[in-house]
Amino acid sequence: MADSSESRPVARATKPVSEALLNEKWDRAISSMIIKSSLGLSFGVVFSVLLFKRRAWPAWVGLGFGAGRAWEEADSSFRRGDSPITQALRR
Amino acid sequence: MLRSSFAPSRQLLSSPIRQRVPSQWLSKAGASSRLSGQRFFADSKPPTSSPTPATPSSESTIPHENIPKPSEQDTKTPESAPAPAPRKRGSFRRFLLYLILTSGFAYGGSIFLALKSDNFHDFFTEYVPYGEECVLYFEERDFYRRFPNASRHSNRIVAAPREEGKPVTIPSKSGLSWKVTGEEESGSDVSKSGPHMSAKAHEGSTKTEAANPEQRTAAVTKAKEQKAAKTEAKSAPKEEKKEEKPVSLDEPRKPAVTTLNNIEFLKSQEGDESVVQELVKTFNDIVTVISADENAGKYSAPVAKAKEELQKIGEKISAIRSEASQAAQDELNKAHATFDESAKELVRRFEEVRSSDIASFREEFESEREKLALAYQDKIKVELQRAQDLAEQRLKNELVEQAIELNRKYVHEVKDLVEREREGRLSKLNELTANITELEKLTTGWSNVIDTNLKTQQLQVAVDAVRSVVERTEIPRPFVRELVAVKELAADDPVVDAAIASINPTAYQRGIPSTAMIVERFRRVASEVRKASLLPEDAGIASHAASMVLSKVMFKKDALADGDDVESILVRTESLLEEGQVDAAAREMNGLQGWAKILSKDWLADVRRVLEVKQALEVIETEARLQCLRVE
Repeated sequence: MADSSESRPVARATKPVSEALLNEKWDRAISSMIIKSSLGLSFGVVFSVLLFKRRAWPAWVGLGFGAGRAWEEADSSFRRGDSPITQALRR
Repeated sequence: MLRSSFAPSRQLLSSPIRQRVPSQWLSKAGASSRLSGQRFFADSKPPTSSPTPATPSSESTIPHENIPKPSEQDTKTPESAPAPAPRKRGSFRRFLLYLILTSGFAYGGSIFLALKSDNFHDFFTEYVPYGEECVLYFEERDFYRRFPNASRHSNRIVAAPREEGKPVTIPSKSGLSWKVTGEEESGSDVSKSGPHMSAKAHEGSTKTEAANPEQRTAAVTKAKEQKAAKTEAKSAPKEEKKEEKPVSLDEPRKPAVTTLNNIEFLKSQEGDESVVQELVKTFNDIVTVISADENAGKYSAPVAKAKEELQKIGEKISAIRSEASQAAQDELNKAHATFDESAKELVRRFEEVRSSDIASFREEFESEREKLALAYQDKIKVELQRAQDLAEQRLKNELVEQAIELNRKYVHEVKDLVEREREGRLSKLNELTANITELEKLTTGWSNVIDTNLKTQQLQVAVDAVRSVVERTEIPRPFVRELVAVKELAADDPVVDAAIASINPTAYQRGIPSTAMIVERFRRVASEVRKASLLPEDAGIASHAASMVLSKVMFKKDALADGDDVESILVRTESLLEEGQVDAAAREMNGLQGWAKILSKDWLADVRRVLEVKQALEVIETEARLQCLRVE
């Protein structure tokens, strides 16, 4: 009994359940979106302050860069998750 | 820019040069004209100057005086104008002179050297222009300087052949006249040596011209002298001339010697023998030599004696020869006769021998033939007999073989009969023993039956325990111990072993979920799968989001609906699970594709494990029951 109780949590931790795969991907995508867009925004703000005399557009451009990068990453991860070969490799 | 800069520079550069060049040319021309002398002035300047004093018309009144004037002027003008010229002209002339002189000296010296040393000659002829011609010319001159003498010599030598040329026709006549003397032969013999030949020719010529033997002897002597002289080379001819005269003076003194010579030649002709001829020849030589001497008269008498002796010897030799030939002829005749006789005898004998041989050979042949015939007959007889023997032997052998085979057959038959008898009795005994062993087995088997019965009962109990663990627990629990017990009880049963091996190890290590848990989980999975149900094949984030939103708006389908889409499959599996057919539900879910399949994979694996365990348990139970049945 002790062995089985020990083995259970280990298994759950290492291997996500298959039905939770998409959810996890969504979590990652959203978090990366937020982080990257905020990073881009901050870079844009810094550039606008330093180089462009506090104009608005560099900040928007930075935000767009960050969001686009995150979008691309998420998209590629969703696309890849479909195929069984990459899954086998990931394991 | 460059052009503009270049063009003037060119002009600048070129103009002085051009100016200079013509000036130089002019100056050169002037110089040359000065050097060349008066002509230039005579043509160009003086005419102008001389006509310009066209005053000549005025002066024409006094032409005699005026005419010399221009000439004076002309002479003066060249003098005045080439005042510096004389130096140059003189120097040039001197230079030319030196040049010619030095070149002449050089050529002369080199030609001289070339004539002296071959090495320099080669060099000079090859590398110096006109050197070869010069050297050749000098060499030829040198040669001609020497040659005239040589040519005269040759002429002299040629003259003699001319003299000979005449004699060539004449000797035939002389030969006719000299039939008896037969000088021709001796002459021909002598002809091998050059000088003699010439001497003979001289002789012939002398004979024809003047049949005097004296002259001829003189000629002979002359020839002899010439021969001697040839060895002495150039000095000879003078001596010849000197000696010729004495010979001619001696003519009256030498008649005896000359006659001797004549007689000698005659005899030499008589002697056919080569030895005699050679002797005569040598004697002739001696005589000629003696006669050549001035005091030949002294030796005339002994020579005559010797000649007579020689003549006698020749006669003797000829006589001996004739005698010897006569004797040889006789002997030959005799030998011929004897040989003829003996040959006849031989032929006769040979005939006799041949006839006798023929007879004997015929007899022998007959006897041999008879013998051979007999021998062949004998052979045939023997062969026939052998063939008969062989046939008989073969027949006998066959008989024996047949006998042996019959014997064998009988033996086999006897053996078979005996065996049959024996087996009949032994089989009865075997049957009895088998019966006894069967009885023994039955008695011992009973205890086995009891044992197996016990085992099967235990097995069934163990299987029941496993089943209870698997099915009647809310939380999945490992059932390793129970399985171990089953395995031990089943002992070596291959079916049970295989059934246990088919169960996934994770199943009995972690336990399997109950059906209620499976249904519950299916609900979770179904909601997820429904979210991803509208995804295309290679879906990006946008399509995922779209399907997530749109799947919530979809209508629910009936359980009986037929279709391959995700929604209908999910509904069907749910209904199947509610009915309790886990197996069919799993099969339905297995038909999903793409993301739906990936999402439902874990659930499917769980269901499969459960199914495997259930199947294995069923197999083990049936096996246990079978064993119970088999015991009886």
